[in-house]
Amino acid sequence: MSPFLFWIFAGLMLVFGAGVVLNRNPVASALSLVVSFLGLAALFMSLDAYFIGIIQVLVYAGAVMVLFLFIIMLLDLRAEKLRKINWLASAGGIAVAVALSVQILYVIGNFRFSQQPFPPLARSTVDDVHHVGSLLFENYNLPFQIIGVLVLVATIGVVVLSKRELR
Amino acid sequence: MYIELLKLASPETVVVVTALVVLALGLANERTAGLCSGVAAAGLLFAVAAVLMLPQQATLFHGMLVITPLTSLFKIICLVLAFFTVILARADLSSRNRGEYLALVLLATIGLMLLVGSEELLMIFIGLELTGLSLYVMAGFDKTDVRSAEAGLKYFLFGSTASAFTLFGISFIYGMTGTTALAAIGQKLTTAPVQPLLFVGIVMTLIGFAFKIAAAPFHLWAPDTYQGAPVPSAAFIASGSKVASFVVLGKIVLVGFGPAQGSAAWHAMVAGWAPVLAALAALSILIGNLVALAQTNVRRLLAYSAVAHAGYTLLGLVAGGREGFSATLFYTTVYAFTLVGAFGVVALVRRETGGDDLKNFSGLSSRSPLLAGCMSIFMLSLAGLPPLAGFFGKFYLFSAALRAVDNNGLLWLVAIALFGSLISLYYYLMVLKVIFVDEKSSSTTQPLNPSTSADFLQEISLTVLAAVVLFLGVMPGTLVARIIAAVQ
Amino acid sequence: MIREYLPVLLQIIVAVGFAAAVLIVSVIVGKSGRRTRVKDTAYECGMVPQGEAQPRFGVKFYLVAMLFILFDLEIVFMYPWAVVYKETIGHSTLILWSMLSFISILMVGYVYALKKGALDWKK
Repeated sequence: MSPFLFWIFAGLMLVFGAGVVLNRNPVASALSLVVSFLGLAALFMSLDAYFIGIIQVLVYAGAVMVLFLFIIMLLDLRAEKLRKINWLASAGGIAVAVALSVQILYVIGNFRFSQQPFPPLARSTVDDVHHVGSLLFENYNLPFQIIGVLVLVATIGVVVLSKRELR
Repeated sequence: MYIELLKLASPETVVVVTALVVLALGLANERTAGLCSGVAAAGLLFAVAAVLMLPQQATLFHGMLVITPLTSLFKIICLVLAFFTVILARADLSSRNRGEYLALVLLATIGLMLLVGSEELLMIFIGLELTGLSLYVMAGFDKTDVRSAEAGLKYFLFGSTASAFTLFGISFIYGMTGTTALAAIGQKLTTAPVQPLLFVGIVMTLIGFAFKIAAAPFHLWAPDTYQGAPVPSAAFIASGSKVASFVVLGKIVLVGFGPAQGSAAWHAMVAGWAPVLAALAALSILIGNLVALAQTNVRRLLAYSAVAHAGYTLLGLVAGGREGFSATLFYTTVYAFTLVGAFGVVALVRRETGGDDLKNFSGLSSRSPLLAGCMSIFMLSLAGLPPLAGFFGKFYLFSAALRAVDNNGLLWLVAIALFGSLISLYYYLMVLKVIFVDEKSSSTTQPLNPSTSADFLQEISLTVLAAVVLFLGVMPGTLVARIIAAVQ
Repeated sequence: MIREYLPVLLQIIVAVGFAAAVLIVSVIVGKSGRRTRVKDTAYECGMVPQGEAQPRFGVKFYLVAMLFILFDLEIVFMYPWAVVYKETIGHSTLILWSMLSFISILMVGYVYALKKGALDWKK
């Protein structure tokens, strides 16, 4: 992918990521997050990780966002809209975030390999779903099984915490 | 291949199957709550037996699952802690949703066992998440109590942020070294010069563990969670999760990041993870002990004392090496058993008097001499008085820290720790003063639920825990020798 | 390579252009009336609206959505499984058994949610 497209998608991600935080209407925040996720998916695809890119769109931009919107609908929106901005807290948060990013940028700037261009990605003849599959079911078999347990925990948690009890 | 996986992961498999059975039993009938507890406890004991039957040394999928004497020992400790939590939950929770609760305890235990038994950052992260997710739900389990919801929410928000940082850090480390296996990372770091970017990764990775062990300044969730969560959840968060986190933190810094240790010696600070952990330890000891002085609620007091104890325990890792690591492991084990016991007493007092403020404990010695005796053993052990296990643990930690660096470089940290222990004596003795000296105030006399006050099983388990704390204080060698032999 | 995407680019331009054109034309041609309080209210078939434009949903929606995501995630793992299954099964049955145990754990979760009445709308 040309650097031009990279900058477009990275910029898209960052602008809409900031939109998530800055928007006062939660629905608008959620929709900004969708666009941000799409930008991320495009970046994944530019690294030849098509499978992860597609999953990013399907699961995050699709399913997770639907969930976010539902949760927003569950909440009382006016409370959030009317809430005063705590300027001191926001300024502190921004200061911390800026300090962290300056540090990381400084460190990456001094990183030996960051001055030279990365070698191009090796063109492989096998598609990436294949790669993911063979890794997932051989070396990463145990984590895969544990993720099943993790999803079970999430199922129990959701049902226990949000199911209305009959009294 | 699959059979081999099942064989080496047999303790985990046993616990998973038990969790599924308990879940199904809980669904079947509200009246099966007692049966659920029995099955869960039996499953845990069965898993201990499975751990004992594992081979001495084995490794699966390049370090995803490692079996050594050390991992087996700590798997058993985690299982035993879960066993006591199940006993605590048997009496303390209403029978509503009991099956789910016990299943979550068991599933969290699997997370702990994986944390203990893995030398792979990816697997460790998944173990962290599995434990975390189960504990978040357990903290917010009591839907009739606003405090429980608050506890769950705070724990969840802090926990998910901390694990995001950890994941970010792990990605840096993977980017720098091209591997997620701890041994391979350690090898890479010995040959290649340590880059600043790697330090960013290391510090970020440590954040998630600092959260789990409630080290300051990542302790903000602890007071509300310890106070608001159902008592068994709080006990498990404070004990099991902490033990496993210390084991895996030790493995990560000593095996994975070993070459980037640096030095925390007073006049010769060298960049690395040791100064970072030393700063965390110093902050935790000071903040935890000073804030604990002002608490009037016993569970909140235990939370701040937990922060301080996280600080002491970190001392061993700062010292590094075999001796430091085994001191940390011994201390965290003793601490976990003590805290489960203390929470057990709190649960019984709470059931009798309807609260867990200090004033609810007044006159406990005349009401129940047994509980008062157990509580005094736990409190004095936490304060670090001989001949209890806490004393020996602290002694071992401090001497390891003094000997680790030439020229008594870590003396400053040990001095802070000693100062902190001195302060802590005040508030632990305060609890005992209320129990033994104060008259029972008239406002707390109405028992909440008098029919449940006599619970022999729980009293027996508390006595056992107190006996363990006393035994490990008198004869610490039994456990220490095992730990030292297991730490390579 | 990039030339092949020309039709896609064309389509994007047409789509964005059409939407923009419609908006612009409606502003230019349509009479842009003054905003009033009544005009800003939500439209409800000419009736006077009651309550808010965004009513609060029941927590049941959340429950269903969350369960949907969990099982959606499960499916994600099946794509790579299906792709590599045929060539891997020849030398090891690990792939079959691991997927079976993965699904059976999730099946317990599904039965649990079902028995608990999580998918039962009326309860």
